[in-house]
Amino acid sequence: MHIILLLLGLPVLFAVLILFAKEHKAYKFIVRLAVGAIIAATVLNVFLHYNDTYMFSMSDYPIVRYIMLGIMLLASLYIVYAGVKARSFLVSMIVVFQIGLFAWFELFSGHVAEIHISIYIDKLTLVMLMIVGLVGGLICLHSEGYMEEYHRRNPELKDRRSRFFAVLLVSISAMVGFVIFNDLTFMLFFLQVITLCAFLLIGYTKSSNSVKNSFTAITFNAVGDLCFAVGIVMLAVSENVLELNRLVLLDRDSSFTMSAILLIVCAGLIKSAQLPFSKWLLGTMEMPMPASAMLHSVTMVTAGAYVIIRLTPMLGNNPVGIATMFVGGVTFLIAAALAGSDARKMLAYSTISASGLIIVGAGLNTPASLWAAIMLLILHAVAKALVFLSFAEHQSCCSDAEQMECLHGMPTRLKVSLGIGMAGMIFAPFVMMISKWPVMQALMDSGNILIIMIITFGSAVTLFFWTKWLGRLIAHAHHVVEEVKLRFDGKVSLFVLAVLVMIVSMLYPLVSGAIVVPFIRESMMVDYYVYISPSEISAIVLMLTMLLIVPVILIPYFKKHWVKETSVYLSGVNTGDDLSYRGAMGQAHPYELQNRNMVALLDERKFLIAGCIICAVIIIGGFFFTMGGAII
Amino acid sequence: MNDFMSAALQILAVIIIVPIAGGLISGIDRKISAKMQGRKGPPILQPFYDVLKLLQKDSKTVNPTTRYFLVLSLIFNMFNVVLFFMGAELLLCIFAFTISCVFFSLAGYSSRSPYSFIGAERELVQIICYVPMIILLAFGYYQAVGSFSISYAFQLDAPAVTRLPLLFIGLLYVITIKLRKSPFDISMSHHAHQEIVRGVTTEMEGSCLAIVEVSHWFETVFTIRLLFLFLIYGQPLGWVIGIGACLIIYFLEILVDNATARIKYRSALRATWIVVLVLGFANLAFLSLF
Repeated sequence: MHIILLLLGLPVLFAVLILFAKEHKAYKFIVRLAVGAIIAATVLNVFLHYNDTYMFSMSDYPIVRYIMLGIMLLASLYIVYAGVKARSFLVSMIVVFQIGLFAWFELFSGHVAEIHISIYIDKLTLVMLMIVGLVGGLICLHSEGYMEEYHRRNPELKDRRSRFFAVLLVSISAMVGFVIFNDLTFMLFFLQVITLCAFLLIGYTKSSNSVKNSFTAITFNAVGDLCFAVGIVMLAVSENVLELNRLVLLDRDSSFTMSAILLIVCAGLIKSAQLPFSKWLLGTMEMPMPASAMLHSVTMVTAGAYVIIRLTPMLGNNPVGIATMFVGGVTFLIAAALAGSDARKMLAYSTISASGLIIVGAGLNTPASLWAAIMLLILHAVAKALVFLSFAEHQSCCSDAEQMECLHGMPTRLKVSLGIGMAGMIFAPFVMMISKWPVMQALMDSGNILIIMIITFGSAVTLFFWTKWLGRLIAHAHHVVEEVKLRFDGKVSLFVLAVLVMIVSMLYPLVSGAIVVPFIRESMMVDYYVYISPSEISAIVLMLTMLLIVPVILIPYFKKHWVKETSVYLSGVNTGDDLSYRGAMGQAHPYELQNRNMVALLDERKFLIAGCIICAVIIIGGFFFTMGGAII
Repeated sequence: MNDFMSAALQILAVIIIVPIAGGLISGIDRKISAKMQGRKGPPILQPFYDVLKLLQKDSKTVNPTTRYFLVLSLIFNMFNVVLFFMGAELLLCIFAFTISCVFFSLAGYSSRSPYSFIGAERELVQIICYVPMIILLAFGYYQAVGSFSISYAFQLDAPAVTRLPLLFIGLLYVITIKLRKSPFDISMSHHAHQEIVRGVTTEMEGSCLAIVEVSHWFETVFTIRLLFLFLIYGQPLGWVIGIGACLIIYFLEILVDNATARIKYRSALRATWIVVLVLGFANLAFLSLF
């Protein structure tokens, strides 16, 4: 029984079902059913494949490959058509070039590389499956009610909800395919499906701005897909390798192989919107929030980081590894500094910055740094999804989540869930310290001082912007907040995500011991243990329990009557609600609190451009040094 | 069981002695400052009287969670100091220390008051001023000594500062911020008499302020103990040098406090980051080369 195919097929099945659903009322039912099925299939797969590595060869079914190539061709042709129709010829040209490359490859030299293992499921795949199945499923569940509200608020938009849900479900399926397949051609195929889904989601509203952004995104990502395609064709032609598990065993001294690896790394960098390529992710922030959440924490960005984590054995102390690390590090610092006071920018840049740190960990290629990268990937996926969905829920009742000032009007329950998401990103011990501990130690041992400086300052800036947001969230004013009734589906998804964030950030030794450490032991063939000694872990756990216990102890203390509430100090002219002050004529003036950000110290645009140039130079330098061996 | 008992006693001793020491330091600090300014100054025990008085006051608060954040900040400060004196790993202490600072800033944010908001924001700026320095110091310590363990410093042949001279100068530079001394007292001054609306603590009253004060005593002791870590080594002479140098440094901090005016937050950030960047990089590069 290939239970894994269930997870691959079910979302597509429900996607087709929802496309044919005529009644709006049916959406809720189908989405709930689909999410239930996806989560059940995920859990089933994780249980079944936990104890052994699952491998499956499809060499007996060549037809599957042809079907896949057929769909790939159709998808590519659709993108070409869309590009031509919207007069965005660059996309069409890139995709046509890729079709040509692949046609040549499949017709003339495609079959030199034999595929032994098509599907390969190890512990990292299970981690990814859990992220995709659980987080992706919960985002879908949340999106149903969100979209209903969205269309009620924006009646001018054409209601194409069924297509929206279908695309969301297909992107889950594509991501599952991307992480389970070992055959690089299939990985490319699923990567393209993910790109296409993102394109459709970004352009959902069909407003001129969203169409423009969707083409920006697809142009970048088509380049990413092309990099991936060229990389695997190079590997297949020169080394006869078309499999991920054999790819990482190749000779690290061959400059041709390493150039191909760097191309695939570049694909990962583009997908996870690292610096010279960050533009596309910022453009995507105008689409419906659940779709953003999907892109940030489940599909595109996570796929990019996943590719690089998979390539870790080929990185390390070589030009490719150093270039990867530096791009990740510089992005980590600069994106964190750019996470300004605008909600959407903050969300986008914080994702970019976190992926940067993940990529540093992967690029370093030591067991400890890989551990840190995977833990961070897991935490980021759940916490960012929670933050996005909390914002989304708020947006549907106040429609303007752009400014931080809006946070104080948030219903209490959403404040709590948003707070948990943000606190997870600040206080999770491995984010704050442990991930940096082994990474930095490895860097120190290898004498990589420059990256140490970058990460040190980057973590300070990260702390700054997350705390600033958390601070705005908890700011308390004496005015009545309109408590809105949350939808059942929304509540369920927020609650489960909040629990997941708490598990991953507080009980991280469980997550790490169950799945991450075994993966590192198996894949790196080392007897790896988490560097932190047990006494340290107990100290950390103690600290975290204090966080939980202290408020409980203090509850009776708060209830006492002698703690009187008062309003804030406004030079004696507070009108009493902490929102306005009394002017000279006795009238009330509302006041606003505006944030400074790091960018107050520097010109945002110049800073971004400088970062892009630095990263571009690093990547070009990486290619130069990698290929230098071949030329000389 | 015996180990457990002795550890518990040690922790208890640290928790009792450290605030007393911190309060005394604060009292002496005020006395010396007063002498520098040509005043008579309060009695040395004044900080304790202040705290006792604050504790007796009626509590009025804008947001009850302010107290929660302050208590957390205090607890993490205590935890940090206990870990430090028990000789745990340096990075763990820094972790606890950073958390306590973040909670203090959150306490400032927790009321929607413009004054306390500005104070909290500036507190955050201060945090990002000194946190990079302290992290770099920990890695420098690891590189120079070969371990993150604090207790390891007592077995060295020469004090860690001999291998980390530049980082130590950087530390001297940033502890001014942590001790809330001029010119870097941008979020709130150490001296309550210097301002009318006092930054982060604008909306805090009575027992909340008492918590802030005790928390600061712990921080002061932590800062001095951090300095001491880089001066001590395996000989009895190390203790003499270490304690003497700490006294001199603290006196110099008071001098600087009284001789300089507060600078703008941007200048503070720029000034510390440039120092940290140059000194930290130079020292770490030197360590990795030799």
